[in-house]
Amino acid sequence: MAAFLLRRLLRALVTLWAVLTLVFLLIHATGNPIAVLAPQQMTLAERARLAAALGLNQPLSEQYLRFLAGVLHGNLGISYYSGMPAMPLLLARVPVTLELVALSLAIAVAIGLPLGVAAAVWPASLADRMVRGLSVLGASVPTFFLGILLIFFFSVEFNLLPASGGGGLVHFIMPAVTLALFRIAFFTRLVRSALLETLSMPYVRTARAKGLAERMVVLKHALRPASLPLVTVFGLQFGQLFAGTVITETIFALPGMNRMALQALYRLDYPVILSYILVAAAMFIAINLMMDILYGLIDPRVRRAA
Amino acid sequence: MFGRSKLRGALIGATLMVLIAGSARAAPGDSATQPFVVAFKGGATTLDPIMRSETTTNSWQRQIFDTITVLSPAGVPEPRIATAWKSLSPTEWQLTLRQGVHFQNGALMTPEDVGASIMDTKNNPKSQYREYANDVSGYKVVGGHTLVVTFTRPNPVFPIYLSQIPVMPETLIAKEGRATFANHPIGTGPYRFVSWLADDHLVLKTWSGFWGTKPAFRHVRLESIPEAATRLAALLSGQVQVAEKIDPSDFARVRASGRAYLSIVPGLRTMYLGLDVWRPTGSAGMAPGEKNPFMDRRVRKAIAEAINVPLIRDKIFNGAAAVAAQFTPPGLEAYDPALKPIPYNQAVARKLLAAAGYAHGFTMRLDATNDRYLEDSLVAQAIGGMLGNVSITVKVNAIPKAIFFPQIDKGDFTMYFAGWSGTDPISTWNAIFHCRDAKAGFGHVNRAHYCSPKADALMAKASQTFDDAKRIALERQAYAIAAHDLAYIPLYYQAEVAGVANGVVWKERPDGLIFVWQMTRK
Repeated sequence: MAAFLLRRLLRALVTLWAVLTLVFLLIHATGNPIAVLAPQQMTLAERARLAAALGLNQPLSEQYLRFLAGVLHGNLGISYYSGMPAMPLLLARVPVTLELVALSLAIAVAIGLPLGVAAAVWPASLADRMVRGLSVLGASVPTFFLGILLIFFFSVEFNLLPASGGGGLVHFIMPAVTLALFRIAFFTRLVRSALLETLSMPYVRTARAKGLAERMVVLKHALRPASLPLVTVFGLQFGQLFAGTVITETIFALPGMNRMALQALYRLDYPVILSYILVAAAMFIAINLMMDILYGLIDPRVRRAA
Repeated sequence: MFGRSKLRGALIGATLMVLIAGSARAAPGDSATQPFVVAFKGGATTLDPIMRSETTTNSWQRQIFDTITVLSPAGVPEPRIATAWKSLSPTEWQLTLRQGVHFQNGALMTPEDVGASIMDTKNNPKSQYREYANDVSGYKVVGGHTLVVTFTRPNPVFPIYLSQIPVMPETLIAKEGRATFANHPIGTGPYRFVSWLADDHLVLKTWSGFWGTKPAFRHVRLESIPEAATRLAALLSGQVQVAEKIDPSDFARVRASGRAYLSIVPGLRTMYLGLDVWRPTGSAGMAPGEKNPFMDRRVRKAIAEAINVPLIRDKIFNGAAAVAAQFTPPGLEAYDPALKPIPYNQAVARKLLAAAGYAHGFTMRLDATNDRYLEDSLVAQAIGGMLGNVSITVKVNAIPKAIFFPQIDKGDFTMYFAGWSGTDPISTWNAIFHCRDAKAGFGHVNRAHYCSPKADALMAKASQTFDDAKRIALERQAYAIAAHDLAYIPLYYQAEVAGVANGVVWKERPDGLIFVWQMTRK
């Protein structure tokens, strides 16, 4: 297991370096940060001074080496716009995104799992058809539309929830629901099909034949193996959401890291963009690593193969 | 005994109920838990007042910091930290400073603080306000509250420039360092800093030692709500009291809401077309080898005649834009109310094109941004369509600002659509209209390569003229020449728009700055 983990970790570091280098080169090809940063009124001499103050006048190779050295020291440079170190600036925004992701996944599992079980246990029933209908709806409503719709009902019409801003849990309800809707549908369908498949297995028939109550058959014998794909997908969704809440954060004006990254991208604030890529990539790698470990724990065959 | 405790319970209960009812009735701004909230599209990126020249950042900072003068909505400098100013000689301005002004840490503001703030604005390598102090050579303190600022060359509009220079606690910055100061800004303004998150929100509280009138709202929160629909929802649900940049398509909703009203004023940003007037052939937006039609003034005039600006105003901006008759917007001193816009007239445009040999039109590219100005790519599309009506085939190239500006700066265009917002006619002239002269620092934004030595001479004279009326007359003459030459075609002035809750009085400023300390209760 230790050798397996070490190999994974090494591969992860190489991936991280490749991602950072690629992004570094790509953003330097997208435009000139001074053109966005400097007011139009600034003369060429003043612009040159500003570029020098930010280290943007050096050749790309030198900037790259300086950047790599900075990464090793955990210092990704000073944000051009705030004048503060970019990494702490970004890290301050991570908790908001994490809270949003955790809450929406919790909602999605809490609703999607029981719905999926119900749909599998009573297939082709009215409940099953409704769940399937709802899941199509949930999978096809775009985030921005749903978000705006929620705001207009719950903030403007009924005045129940705040339309925007970070703060207490109450600010996270609408954005989390917005993100959860698609996942509820997704998890429901996943659990339904996995459970249906398991329920047709011979060992389930055996369990039924020996006279076990149907509840025990479903919840104890069938659901556990059937929830394995859910664990996989949960991890994937976590990673995807962690870097994919940008629309939701923008609509609900949540101070999350994805909104900050988008702004940095518009402004070509290189240090912030690269900090973001580093954090997001590290998170993805960590999740993948955890999934690998989790598989090993759940399924001995994976451990042996490694 | 039993009866008394019951009575006491009832009293406590009643008091609690009154308290709860009271807190529910408290108006926004009265307490830290129920602040007065202003929603912006963006947020301040820094609270260091010279590091970023951008409207929202300035708006947030200028609740905490005073500038030395402040511009009236008509663009006239008015007293703030300086109560009076006088030019002693062409290269000397004398400023009389307000007495008894304190920084929010309790320290008395000294003339040295003001002088050093001017020098800091000029010398700090990351300062984005250098242009306002570039000509300053130094200062000396005369007496207890007078400052004489000296210049390397005459600057008659320095009192306007002073409206851009913030007063900073220079002795404190020298002691504590710039980063500490930016994290906990201290100024002389009506509000003091409580807490913030860059690009997201800023919490403020009135400062008890402020030298001027106390603001109407004690607890203030400035917020960034990037999405227009959310900003509107927050306003209509009472979550925020003022929301800037309401979408034109939402005007009717605000008006019908019964909860808020709109404040719309023409802004200082002129949206214009820039035309290549220097390359007879080989203009970058034309087919290779093609003649550049814009060398001929008749074609430039035809463009101005062919664009229906009132239609753009009504259909795209729902009325919230002002048709421009000249490059200078109302609110800057060279604005000439006598000038009338070039009327929209397709027939005249066709005639002009035919006379110039383009009866069957030509094909060209129009470059524009898609992420910089209000509805920029939509307006560019509309212009393309309107020019199509007079047989000019336009390929609209709407791109992100980070690519657009470097591209047009190096001359890769035939016609571009962009905006300009200046503080005074002289620096605007020197940047956009002056014959290009990199060495002397002239014409660095003159992308069209427009050149009128006669107009330049008039402006050179204006920039030495301290008599306001005479200077303005000279400026108007120069701008009239440029307006006739049409290297740049002004189209409209962007409007500043805010939705304001019914109980609050606020009128937008042409410069787009939002001063919470100027807002009052109805």
